[in-house]
Amino acid sequence: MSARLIGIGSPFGADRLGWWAVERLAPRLPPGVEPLCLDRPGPALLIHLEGLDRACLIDAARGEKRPGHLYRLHPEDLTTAPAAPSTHALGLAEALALGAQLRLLPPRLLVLAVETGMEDTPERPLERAWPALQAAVTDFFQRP
Amino acid sequence: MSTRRIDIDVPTLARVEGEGALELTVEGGRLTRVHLRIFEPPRLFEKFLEGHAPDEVVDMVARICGICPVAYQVSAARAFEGLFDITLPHGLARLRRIMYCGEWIQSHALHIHLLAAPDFYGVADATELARVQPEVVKRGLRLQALGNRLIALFGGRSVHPVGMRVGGFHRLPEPADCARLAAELRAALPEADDLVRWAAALPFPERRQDFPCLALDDPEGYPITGIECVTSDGKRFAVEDFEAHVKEFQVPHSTAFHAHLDGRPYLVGPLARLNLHHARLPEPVQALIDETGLALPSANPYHSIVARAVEIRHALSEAARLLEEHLLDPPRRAYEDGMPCAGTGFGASEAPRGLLWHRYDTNPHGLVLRARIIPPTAQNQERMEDDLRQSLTEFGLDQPAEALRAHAEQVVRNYDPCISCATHFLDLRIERR
Repeated sequence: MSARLIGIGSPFGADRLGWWAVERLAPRLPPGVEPLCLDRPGPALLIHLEGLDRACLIDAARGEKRPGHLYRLHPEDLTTAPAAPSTHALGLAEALALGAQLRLLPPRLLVLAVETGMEDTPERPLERAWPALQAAVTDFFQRP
Repeated sequence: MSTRRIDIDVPTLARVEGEGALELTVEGGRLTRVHLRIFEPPRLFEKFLEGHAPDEVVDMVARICGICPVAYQVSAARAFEGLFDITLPHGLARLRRIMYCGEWIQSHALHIHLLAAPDFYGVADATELARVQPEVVKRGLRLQALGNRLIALFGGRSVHPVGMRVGGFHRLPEPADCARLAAELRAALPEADDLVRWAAALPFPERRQDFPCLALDDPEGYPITGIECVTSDGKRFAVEDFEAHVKEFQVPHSTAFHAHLDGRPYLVGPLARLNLHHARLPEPVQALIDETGLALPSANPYHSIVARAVEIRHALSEAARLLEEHLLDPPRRAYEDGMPCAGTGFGASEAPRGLLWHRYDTNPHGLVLRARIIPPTAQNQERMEDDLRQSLTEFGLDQPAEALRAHAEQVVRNYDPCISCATHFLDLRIERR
């Protein structure tokens, strides 16, 4: 099995949550699952998904739930911007829509997004989400 | 002649970097108003830089743009290096050039494949293009990833890289990484050759416009940096004298400055570089251009897309060659020291979208007193409006508003405007009366 756990984010603020989560989960991953942190990859995310059997993406999210809420999403759950965005704004949803069209997405792909609300740092949302996040990642990679 | 007045309003121009708007008025069969409206508030970056030390500035200016941070870093670093009397040894200048090639590759690959190409296949965006031409989009993604990796080799990461400093780099790249990337760059050359052939065969409208071109003159070859500017009407002036020739001015409809070169709108960017310096490209790249039948200099702004493809091809082979040279003769140190001083430093480089000029006034500790940055999109704004006047008139002002809007957006897209740099961009209003 070729599989990756990918944290998406940037070096500062709550957006670092995906990287933190992957760094903490990396020692506990099953054999054959590669941890990877990507800095605002945009469409370049697809290069890291091509050819995989399964992949789990962890990202920070800002929605309407309480900080620490875990969203379990599949690519079809994500809606793209109504107008084609500039590449400055090509986000996860647009990159995955492009990947689906190009048939570059792994057959099993899960997006785990942690609500950060208006928090400035990732610590508190990640602590709240941790048990559910850890269980979701373990279940995703251990399921036959 | 029609006496109708038609107002066309494009409230958000799609597939450009940033947000802006376009307002056109057709009156009595003539275009009486062409406003490329940049409405994003000024970002005040030049004020943020005041009081900061040169190495902080090199990291801060990388934040101006997520697509062309290396250009901002190189222009800033060169300004301080000139002021502090730092001469980069050949080995370090070579590494700067390689990193810059990475930025051209990733920025041009994104623009050609994700922003411009959908226009030529009659689809709305890259996701739809992926449905009808998946291999075209995949090629763009592969090339973009290669460019990103070149930037990350020196900058630690491809978005807002942090590896550069005044006098060179914080550290030298690992030889094994350089060797691996050089081989991958060479392996991508056939794909880049195909890209140039494909781009030159796109169904471009015939256009012939009169515009002066401005680019740096680079002693190392096809221009990336340099201490002199050259124009297509035969002028040559030092980077220090840029302000004597390029005058910025405000217009009511844009929060970004417009600029004139000696009193005229002008072009910077890949087509300007190619028009002025195609003879300095290596022989295989020139042969490829000849094969496509592209006649240079070109007066057709649509050929900017071909110019970007040519620059990708050139940047791949240039970066591979320089990485191989670096492995044989690496610099001994990652950077050269200089002595901060009071004065004024000037730096310029050829960003993917064109000449990017910086000026810094410093105090005796080298801290910034005043900064001035003239980005390429601001310089091209007036040229874009001129192009719109000519192109839409040739296209036919009696065309339906939706066709005019689509054509106008395509014309603007040829310039790959980065409104985030200029400040931000596009929302078309067309009024017909």
